[in-house]
Amino acid sequence: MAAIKGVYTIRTEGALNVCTYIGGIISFLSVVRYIGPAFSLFFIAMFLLALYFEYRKRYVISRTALNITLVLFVVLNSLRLSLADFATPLVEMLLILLSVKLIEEKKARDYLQIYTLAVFLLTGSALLSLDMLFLLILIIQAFLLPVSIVLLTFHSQQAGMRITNRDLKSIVSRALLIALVSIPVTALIFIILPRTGFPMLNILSRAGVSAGFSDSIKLGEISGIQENSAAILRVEMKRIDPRMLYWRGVVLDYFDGTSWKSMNKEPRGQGNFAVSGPRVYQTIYLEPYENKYLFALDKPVNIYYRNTTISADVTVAARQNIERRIKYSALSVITETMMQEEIDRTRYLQLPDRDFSGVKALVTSLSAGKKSEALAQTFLHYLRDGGFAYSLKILPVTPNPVEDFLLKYKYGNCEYFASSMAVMLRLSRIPARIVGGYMGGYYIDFGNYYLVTQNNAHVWVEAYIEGKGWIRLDPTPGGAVTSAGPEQRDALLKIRLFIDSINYYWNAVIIGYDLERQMTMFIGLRDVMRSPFRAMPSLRDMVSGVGLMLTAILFLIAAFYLLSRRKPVEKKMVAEFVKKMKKRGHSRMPYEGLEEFADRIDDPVLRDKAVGFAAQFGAVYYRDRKFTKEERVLLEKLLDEM
Amino acid sequence: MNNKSEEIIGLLSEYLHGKSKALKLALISFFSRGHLLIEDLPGLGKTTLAIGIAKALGLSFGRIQCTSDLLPSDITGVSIFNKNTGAFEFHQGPVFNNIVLVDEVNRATPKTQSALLEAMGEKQTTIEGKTYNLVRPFFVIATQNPVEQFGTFPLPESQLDRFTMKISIGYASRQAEKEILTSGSRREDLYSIKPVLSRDEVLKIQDAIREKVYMSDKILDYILDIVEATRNNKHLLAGISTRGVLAINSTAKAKAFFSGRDYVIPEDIRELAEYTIPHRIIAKEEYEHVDRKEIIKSIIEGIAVPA
Repeated sequence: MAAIKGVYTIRTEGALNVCTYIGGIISFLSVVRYIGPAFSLFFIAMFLLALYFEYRKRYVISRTALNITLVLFVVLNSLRLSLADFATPLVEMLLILLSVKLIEEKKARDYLQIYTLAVFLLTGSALLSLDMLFLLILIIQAFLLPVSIVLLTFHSQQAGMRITNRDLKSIVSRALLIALVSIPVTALIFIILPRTGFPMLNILSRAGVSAGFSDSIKLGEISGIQENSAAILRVEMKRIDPRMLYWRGVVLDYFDGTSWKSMNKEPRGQGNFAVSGPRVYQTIYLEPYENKYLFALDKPVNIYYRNTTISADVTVAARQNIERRIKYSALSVITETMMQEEIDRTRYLQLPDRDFSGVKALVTSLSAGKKSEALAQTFLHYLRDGGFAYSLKILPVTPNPVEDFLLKYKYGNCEYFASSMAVMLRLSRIPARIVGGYMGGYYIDFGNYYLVTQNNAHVWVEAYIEGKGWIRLDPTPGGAVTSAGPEQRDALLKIRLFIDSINYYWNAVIIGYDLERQMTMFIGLRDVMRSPFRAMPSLRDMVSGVGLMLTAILFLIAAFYLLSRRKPVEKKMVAEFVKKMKKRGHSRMPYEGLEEFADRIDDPVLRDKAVGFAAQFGAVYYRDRKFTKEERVLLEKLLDEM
Repeated sequence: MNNKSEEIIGLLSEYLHGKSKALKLALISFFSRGHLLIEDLPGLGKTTLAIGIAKALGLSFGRIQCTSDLLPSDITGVSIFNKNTGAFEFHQGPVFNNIVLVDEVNRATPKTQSALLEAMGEKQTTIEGKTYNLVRPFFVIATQNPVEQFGTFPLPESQLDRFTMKISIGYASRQAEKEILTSGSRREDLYSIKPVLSRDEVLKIQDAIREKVYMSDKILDYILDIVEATRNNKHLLAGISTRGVLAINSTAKAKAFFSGRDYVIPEDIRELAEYTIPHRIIAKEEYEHVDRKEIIKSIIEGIAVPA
């Protein structure tokens, strides 16, 4: 074969293996976040072993032995399956199967099995989480697998086959086309299917929960919640005074000496609840966590989410635990006080049967004739500025942590401050309760939303003052909680926030997509077209608008391409025939019949072939018949010979 | 069946030196149930061709030499009073043969021409109020001289349209003429050749061509494209008639059949176009001097074949 400049040949098997191994490692990456480390290590080891075998061209482990081990493993592993956590063991099992497939000596069907496993793993990862990374991996696999399969077809036809880099390029570009063509279908599914949200199948998933917030607080047992920087809330709203950023969650009213719990909630009645202040409307994306309370800015007036109840102490609960990311909107009135006429005093004055004598003495010394609100303020000052240190260090677990904190150790986290405050208030016959939630958050201008992370978790106190109602008191010293962020100049944090904003768009536009919203956006876009400067849409609308338009354009291109390319087989064959002849220097006039044209060719060998093709082709085409498979193969063979 | 046509051609080319093309065209128009008009100079073998076809196909042959005083009854036949029976007896004219050679058709008067053309078109003739069916198959080979002198009545286009094809034989090649010179004319021998086909076989072939050869919709559209183009052409006053379309159709089928196919391909139409179309169209006055064959050729080259 004459060497043409810039053209060289590649072993199909080599290219195939490269694609297959990349596909394997990508599959692994798609699930590595969810599986046990032992499985990860096993996979990596097997993968390296497979590479070594591939390099040495020796596959020392016999297929039978591998298969027996695999069957055993699958049986054993299936014992681990449970309805509560179905997906993870499944994914782990698939990964093991994949790694074993990789170390085997590979025949065509083994390659196909590898690809099937890769697809299964991708699907499995969708069961676990449907985030941006899934999209990325989906795109990579959607491109890589067709390439591999085409290469496999070559390879299975002829083992030691070589193809030129040009052919490889055309294979790759076609595979890209397949991936591209699938976009319209995906877009269609995207539009017609309702959002399944996160994750796809609740029952099969373990909900990807981040451990943290709970409806009981046990002092001295820091659950790691405050060192977890995972996002919990994203709240789309206007920027407000950072001092008012209290995200109300659950109210805890029962103290057993070491932990706070929530008593049975009564639904909020009509009329015994009044707030006044600026109203703030929020759209909230709540990440899954192990409880059922919905958060909103203190004090939520209404929460728009199905099947929620607001109880008398203004705790908003969904029917079951939040096991997937949900979106809801809320209306809050920003105020520190909340009027409520009747309260259950015994409930809010409850104290455990403990020896609080030290605390009592402290309370008495601080009271000095002060009553209700003034007294509460005194306690607040005492805790804030009275030599107490905020610390996340674990305090010694004692039977009476409040007293020990106040009189002995004098350091602790917000839970200690709030518990002590509540106990002091209750000892002074002021009804008090603890409110758990989050405080602060980073305002992200890029997306006009607050990012609230797990380490924003916070508890504070509400005290009932006659004639005023419940007032919010936060005894934890300032700066304890990460506050809203322009002062945060940390580059890493900035990157994190940026990534979070992308994630936010993904959730808001892709996962939280709804048709009505897109319609509104279109109308908005139309208005912008009419008067570009009057109605600037928000960046977010613009991003999703552009995204939608791109999808539409891609769809049109793909549709056009498909329609224009969908030539019948006959037309394609003739086109190829004519193209081949042209290469040999015989161009056919459009008015010429095929046989006539073939007759015109002067090279007798080529002419015979061309005449043969024309006759064979005409016999089917001009009889208005469809090509049988044999005829097609024959004609293609004739074409190849030319 | 295909080899039969080759057999005929092989047989006759002994007598018709270098005229196999004309022979083939004549056979196509015969088997497509049409009629043939040969426009050529005298003495180029038209008659030999006609006799050859008739004999090779085992059919009866009649000849009409047209002159300006030829009467319709000279063609169709005449009733003569029989004294013995006391009745008129009909005596068939030459038109009651399978193959009729009408020599120098443009010398006959229009009245006689139209009698002949009625017979051609209707395959029947009316004499003294009585209609007689003609024999089957019925094939007319008419000849006319291109350069005309005196006393001719050129066939009007409407009459020309009745001929399926118009061909010319042309001068024989030098080689062929040399052979004629060395071996002499073998016209007499023609009368004694053995037919290759019987009449029944001929009819069977005609039916097979009509019914068995498949004409795809794509080809029909191609034909209609050509027809439409002739009708809209700026050089032409009148395009192909519906009868013309039928002629294109049937000759294409016959050609496909003789090429050993049972389906029509675009070449069947293209290759016959210069014989089936030019005599049917009327050029505009200002383009009369332009060769009609050229006009047709350019029209067809403007139409893409299917596939």
